[in-house]
Amino acid sequence: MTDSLGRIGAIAARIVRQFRRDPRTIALVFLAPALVMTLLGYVITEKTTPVTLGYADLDEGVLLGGTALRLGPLLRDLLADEGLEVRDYADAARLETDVRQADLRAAVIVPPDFTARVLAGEGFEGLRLLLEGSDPVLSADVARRFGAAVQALPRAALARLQTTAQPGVPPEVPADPTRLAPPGQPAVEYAHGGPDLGTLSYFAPGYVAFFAFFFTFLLTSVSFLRERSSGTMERLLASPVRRGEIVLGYLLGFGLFALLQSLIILLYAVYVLGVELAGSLASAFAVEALLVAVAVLMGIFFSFYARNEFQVIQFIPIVIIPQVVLSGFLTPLETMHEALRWLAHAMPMTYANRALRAVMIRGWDLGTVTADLAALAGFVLLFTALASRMIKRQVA
Amino acid sequence: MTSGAHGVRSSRPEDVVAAEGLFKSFGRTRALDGLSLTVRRGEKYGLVGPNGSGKTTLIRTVVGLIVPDSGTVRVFGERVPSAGVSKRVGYMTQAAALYEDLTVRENLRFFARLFGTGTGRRLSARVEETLELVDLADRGDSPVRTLSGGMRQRASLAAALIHEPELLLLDEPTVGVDPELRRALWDHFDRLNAQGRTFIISTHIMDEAERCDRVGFLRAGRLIAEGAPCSLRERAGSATLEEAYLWHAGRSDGGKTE
Repeated sequence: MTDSLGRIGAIAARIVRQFRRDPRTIALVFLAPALVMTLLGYVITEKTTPVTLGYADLDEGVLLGGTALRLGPLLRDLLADEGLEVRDYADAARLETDVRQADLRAAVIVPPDFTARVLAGEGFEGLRLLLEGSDPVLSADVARRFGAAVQALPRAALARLQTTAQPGVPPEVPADPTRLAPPGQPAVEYAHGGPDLGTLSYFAPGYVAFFAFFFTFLLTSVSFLRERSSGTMERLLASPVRRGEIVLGYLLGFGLFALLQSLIILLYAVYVLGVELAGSLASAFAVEALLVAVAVLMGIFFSFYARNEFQVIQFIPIVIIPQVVLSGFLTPLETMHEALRWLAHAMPMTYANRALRAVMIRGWDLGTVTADLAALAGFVLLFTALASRMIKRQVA
Repeated sequence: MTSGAHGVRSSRPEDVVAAEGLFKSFGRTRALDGLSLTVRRGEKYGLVGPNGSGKTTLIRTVVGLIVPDSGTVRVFGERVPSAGVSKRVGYMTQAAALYEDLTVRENLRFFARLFGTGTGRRLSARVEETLELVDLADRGDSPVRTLSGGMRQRASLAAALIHEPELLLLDEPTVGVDPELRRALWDHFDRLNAQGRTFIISTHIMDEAERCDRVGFLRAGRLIAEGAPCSLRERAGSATLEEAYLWHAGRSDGGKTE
């Protein structure tokens, strides 16, 4: 038993020593994730430069109790409040041309009878939002902001009416105000996160899982492949070391680096990039540890199917990318085709992702994700057996 | 014929290796074809034969890296593979089989720990002793990748010697090694042999075979002749071992067609 631990320790220590001899790989493992996350943080941040919206206000307004009411300028203010940069156009035709020529991404044209129609209870008929349309994400964003501004319009109009009404002169509101102000807006509540939960915060658990898996899998694969191609595996197998001890030694050696990497990613994400962490770092770390173990074992297993380093690279599209696509990292599992969902559940990253999201975003404790942890533990056992068997097959 | 003859025979205490009726096929090629081999304690036994004659398969089978389709291998009276046996066996291949990015000393320490060669000071002492033995004491802290071919080969030998094995199995240890270094390596082998270690060395260089106590001629997975180099030459009536090999090979082919 002590002999066995000694041998496992010797293999783990050797891996750590080899790592230390390779500063470039260390830099890659520890710094690359931070760099990539920073870049992604910039790319997917919500604070984009405002989209310019052309605005042709043809609204003639109506006279109410001696004061003119025009809803056009009111809508303009609301659009600006929504974060759109409004540029005024006098000529609606010119505005349409500009959008068609893609000089502008979006335009709003307010019809001459806008206020009259709204006050008559006819709603926003005639109001047009014109989208350039080549970028669906941007279009959807502008449409959402436009929708919000329009929703807010009746309430704002009512407020304006009340403040501008002359004392003593009852405002000749043609329609009753209840028709003007639609019934209360549905309240939106968030159980977790909230409207301020950044996209980066939402993706952070996925990134953490992905980086740990990606680097650990590739490095273990290459390292084990070298063990075979350089002949050192022959020496190991001719020594008293047992197959399981080789697997455990690798698990320990590479696991150590992978966990260090995970810790750096987590700390960097939370303290430098400001990713929200509702749960405890320790819980996230525990999930990571299991995922990393799976990555080491899969790395050993798959290395037997590669003859050289280049063939290890070929595992990226075969082993890693499907996991990224299907694990719920990019798109929610619920929206996937049923067959794909089945496939997703054959992948360790799916469980790690789910557990990490629960722990990091919802702040749940590990007790609530035992099913996911058990699945990961199952992968650990499965690939321990498979990896040991592959080493045994080496002994023909 | 003497001990090389087939037949049932209990292994004697002086037999370090006793392999009986080994068969092994890889796909459709038969690498070992009913081969039996006995190597006595303190012997330097040479396996001679062309590529594909089964030298490597035989050595890997004795080490326990290959499980034969049939037949048995006993080393020190114990069936292989066995952890107890592997502690007493040193194995060296033509590839250096060391961790390139680690120093010679680190490599030796690693293998010493795998073989349970003590700890702390005892382990260090053993590593230094082995470095001395292969004349690499001054290059102990060099990463293996910076070593010349000859030094690599000596470092590889050191790794095979680290646990003071009683039996050394060397698979073409001098392939690609210049004549001067080859002689130096063989001087090492002789010195270790004089300490009572048993050697099985495969080679296709006849000069090297001449330096063995006994030589086995391998052909198509079978031992076609065996004996001291001089007796093999005498039997064939030839001046060199090379001619002797061809003579014995011809005879074994003839025997087959009869």
